Amino acid sequence: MRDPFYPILSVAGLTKNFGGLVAVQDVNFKAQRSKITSIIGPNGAGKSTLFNLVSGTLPLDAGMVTFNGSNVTGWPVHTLNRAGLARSFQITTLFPDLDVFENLRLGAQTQDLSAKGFLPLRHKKQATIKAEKLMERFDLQDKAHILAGTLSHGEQRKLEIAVALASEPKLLLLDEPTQGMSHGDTLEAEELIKDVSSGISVMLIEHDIDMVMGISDWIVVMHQGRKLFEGKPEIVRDNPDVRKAYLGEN
Amino acid sequence: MTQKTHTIAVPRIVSKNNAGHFMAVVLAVAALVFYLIGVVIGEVFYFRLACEALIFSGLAMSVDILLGYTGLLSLGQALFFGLGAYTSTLLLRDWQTGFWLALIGSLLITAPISLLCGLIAIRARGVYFVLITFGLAQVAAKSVYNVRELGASDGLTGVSVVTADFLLFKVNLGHAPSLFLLMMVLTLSTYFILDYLMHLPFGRLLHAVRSNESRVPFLGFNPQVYKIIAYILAAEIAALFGAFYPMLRGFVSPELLFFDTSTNAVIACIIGGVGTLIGPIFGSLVFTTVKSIVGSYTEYHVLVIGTLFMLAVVFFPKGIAGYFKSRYDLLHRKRENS
Repeated sequence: MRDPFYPILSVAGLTKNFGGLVAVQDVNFKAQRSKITSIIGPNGAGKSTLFNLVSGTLPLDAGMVTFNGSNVTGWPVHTLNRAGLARSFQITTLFPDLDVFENLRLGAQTQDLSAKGFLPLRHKKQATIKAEKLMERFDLQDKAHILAGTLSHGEQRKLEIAVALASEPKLLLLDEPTQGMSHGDTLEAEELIKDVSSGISVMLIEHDIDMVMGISDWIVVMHQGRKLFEGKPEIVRDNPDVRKAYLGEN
Repeated sequence: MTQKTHTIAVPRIVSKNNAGHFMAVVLAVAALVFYLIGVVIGEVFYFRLACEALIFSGLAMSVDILLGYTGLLSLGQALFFGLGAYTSTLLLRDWQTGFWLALIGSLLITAPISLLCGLIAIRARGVYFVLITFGLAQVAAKSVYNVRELGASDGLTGVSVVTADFLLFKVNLGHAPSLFLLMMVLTLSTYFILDYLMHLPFGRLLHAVRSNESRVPFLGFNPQVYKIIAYILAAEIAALFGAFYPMLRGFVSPELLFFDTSTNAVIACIIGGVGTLIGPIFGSLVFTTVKSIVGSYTEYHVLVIGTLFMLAVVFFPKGIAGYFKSRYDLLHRKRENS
């Protein structure tokens, strides 16, 4: 029998070149179920590229991605999403001329597999209910009929996470969820991410080191396209190599 | 605690508080009045003109599915309109199939051809998509223009009067008022069905494709699949209305496939209001009427239409339906508040 605790995601030998530039080289790590795994590293360390490879946004040059027990290397984005892997974006990419409710309902309608968008009304109701719940959870009810493109930056970031969550993923990849947020919003986002991770696995890229140390169960440190170190937050914090690469200390 | 912030959870075929549906009802009533007056005074010309406008309104709706809902500008919808018209002509004239088989035949032949054209066109985005649709239609138009079996530059003539058998009653399509009523029913049913489709999850995904195509895969849907379905749907609507053209005119000519036909539909769509479906019907009625009236005074009617089009875009950027909708919604809100 299969170990029920097999990792939700494991990557092996992940490599990506952009022309002559090596963006990600031979990266291996595992993300455990129902845990928060964070990817940190200085700018240009290859964090975002790593995310793009895992989520199928970019094709990989070499390596293997195993998600929820199946080899998903080379799967197209929409198939991966159906399998339960959702992501948010560092630069907010919502549906700007649709309202908040519609953004969420679109995210939620992924689960209406049998309907394929054409028939039963029952399915549409499910997506509507789910969208309502998400608005409540993310405190966006008042904005239901506001166009996503006109929301404040903080609200757009929140909606970005909510839309990714709407498809009820098994693993949620968050690309700098607090990017550009005020301190207050960051604290709120931190609570939200903790709350979210009670049910599903979360992987995030984050610059806010305090937040990363506070909420992560496991941290992978990237440096110049390679994995420098990985471990529990307290161990990562005390690792001299990490301090040197990431914090620029000697 | 939770207040209901929205009401349109389940789309209805006909709903209150919907500006588009209200406009459709107004149109239906106006059409009936027009019909009664026309029958009493024994009018023929304006009935036939209205039929032509309604036939082209189908083409304009087909443009709107792509432009207004999916964000794809097609400058080649005349291809499918002409395909429907030519197929229906051949079936009616040479095969004597009658009304229903002419329509079904046109729809059937459009399916594989639009699938093929769609597969080519949707590979490109933006202006390249526009150019491919334009190119495909030009290829078809030039081919028809040069094939003697299809009448070449003369087109095909000699389609005799068609009778449509609806089991309970028969409609003689040579009788202008009857054809007008039939076209009105067809146009409005098409509007309501398409409007309903656009509110289903399928239609909402088309909205998503228009709004931000690259994000759609991250919702778990392949945008290419939805674009191709929209493309085929639009082609079928164009072909369906095209198939009525020979029933009205008794002939088809290669002009139906020309660039002008495609652009006129786009203009009608924009004048009426992009992304409203009801707008293109109004746009087409206005366009055809203006073209006919101005055309009877001067052969430079294109100049007049061009000027009117520019004025319409400047002063009514959201078209007739968009302008009406903002008024309608305002009125509605006032009534709710009072």
